[in-house]
Amino acid sequence: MIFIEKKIFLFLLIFFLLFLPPLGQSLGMYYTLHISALIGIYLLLILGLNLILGFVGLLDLGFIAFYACGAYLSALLSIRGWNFCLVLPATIILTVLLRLLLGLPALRLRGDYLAIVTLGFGEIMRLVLNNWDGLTNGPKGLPRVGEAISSPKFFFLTFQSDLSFYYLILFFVILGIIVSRRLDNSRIGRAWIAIREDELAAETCGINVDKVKLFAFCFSAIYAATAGVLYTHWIKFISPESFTFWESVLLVSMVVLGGMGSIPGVILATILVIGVPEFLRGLLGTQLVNYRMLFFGLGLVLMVIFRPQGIVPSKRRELELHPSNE
Amino acid sequence: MFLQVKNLTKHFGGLLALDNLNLTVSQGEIVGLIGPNGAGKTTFFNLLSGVYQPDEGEIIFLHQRIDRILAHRITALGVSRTFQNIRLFAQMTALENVMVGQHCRTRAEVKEALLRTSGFQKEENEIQGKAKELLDFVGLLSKGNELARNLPYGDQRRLEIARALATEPKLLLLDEPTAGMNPVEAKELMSLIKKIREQGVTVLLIEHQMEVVMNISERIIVLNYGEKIAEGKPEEIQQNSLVIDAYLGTE
Repeated sequence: MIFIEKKIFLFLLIFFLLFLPPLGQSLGMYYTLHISALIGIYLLLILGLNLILGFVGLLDLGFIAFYACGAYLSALLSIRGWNFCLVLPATIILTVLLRLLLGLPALRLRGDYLAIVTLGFGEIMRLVLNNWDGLTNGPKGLPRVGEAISSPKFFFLTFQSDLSFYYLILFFVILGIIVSRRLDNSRIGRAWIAIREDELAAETCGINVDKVKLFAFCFSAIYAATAGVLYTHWIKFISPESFTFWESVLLVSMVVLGGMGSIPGVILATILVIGVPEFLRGLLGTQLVNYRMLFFGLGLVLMVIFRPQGIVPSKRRELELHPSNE
Repeated sequence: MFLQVKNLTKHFGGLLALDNLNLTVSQGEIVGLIGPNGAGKTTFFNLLSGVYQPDEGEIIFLHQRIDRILAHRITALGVSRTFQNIRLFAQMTALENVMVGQHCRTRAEVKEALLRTSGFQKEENEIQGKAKELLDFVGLLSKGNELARNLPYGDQRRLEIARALATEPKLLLLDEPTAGMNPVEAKELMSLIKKIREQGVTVLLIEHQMEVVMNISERIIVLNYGEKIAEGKPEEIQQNSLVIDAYLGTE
């Protein structure tokens, strides 16, 4: 698997996601579409978390809070009749602002302390959503009776059918992958990885560590917010129980499982963790799938022991080494 | 004056690491900084490079006070350093390590990186070209694609120097550059340091191997218990009774 060129590997994955749902539908397995869409939404989340955890090395245990923020904001706006074209950017901007407010004080902390603060923030978010009845309808979720979340509409284009909306999700996933890859191989991406490797050395190399970290922290929220918006419009119902601490833990585990900072790795891990148990449900029956967390935990323990670098370890790009004057 | 240090003092709790240190460095010099363990040499480097803030005193570099500003700004002003216990970006290739060093001399931001503008490509090519030149300069070009952590110890030291040079320093601080090297490697490093100076970089180095420091430095400053106890040409330092006492004890 590692021997396949990374680019080809990514193309294969996208190809797989592109044709899986129509194939499933033609075989009469309509559930495939739903699972694929869920994988797509999780891919966006994972790509975002991979930026902050995989590249910059900041252990963010509250990433789900910004996914929740994106989901709820878009639901609130959509219920008020806003067009999807406006809901998406507005939600992204507000979520990034919230992320900035958390990042300003929290990023002064290092390592485990940051993990605790982000974990705490994730819980605060869930509790607020659960208890602010007037705005979020509490545990009963959104939309309320009589309200509805509209289908996404881009000027003339309406994503009415589920399949077309699925391709919209896939579009954002591909965009997310391109953005991640381009940042990785740039001055900014190198600065991120340098910070992960050695913060002090990065600072003495002339990198404004605080600023670069804050930027990455906020940038990752764009992914979370987009995933939230898409989730809301796909499921058309959200409640606080979708955004628990365990979701955050699951996300972090997927990044670790795939390989920190490895884009193909985290994509593969997402498909394995989110997709495979759901597909197996049909084949093996519900009984076995109920134990999926057990298998997942076992897999994670084995990975950490035998292959701590992840399924597809992050590999640095090799460059031509001829001196430039030749 | 190129670099001027006035009344520099630093405490760590009850420990006085640097006590009222005064010294100057002129442009183009190679200055050796020696002293027994715990004399405050590395602390001095940490203050110079902005890792710590001094309790008292001033550091003036090219007519500008640098003792209260952040480390990355000091690097941008032209002071660069290596570390006693090598601090490379272990999971990045040797070439990338040097490319990171050029961060403050380049300016491509996210927009350029995402759109892959022609300016971005041009700058990327320049960064790569310069990084290769520097790797060639320290003799590591053939190992450019190796991960930094897989390099042998001596290569890691030289890579760290290449990374420091990538920031285009006017003053280079080398913290025990020959530590852990065999005599042959140490000799190679000495000629490398001389080559760096020929390019117009002022070098301040901490060194324990007396052979190296006496051979390469034009001037030596000796610290003991955070105070400067001697300063002068290598021959003078070798004869200085205070220095001999500090190193060997008094009879």
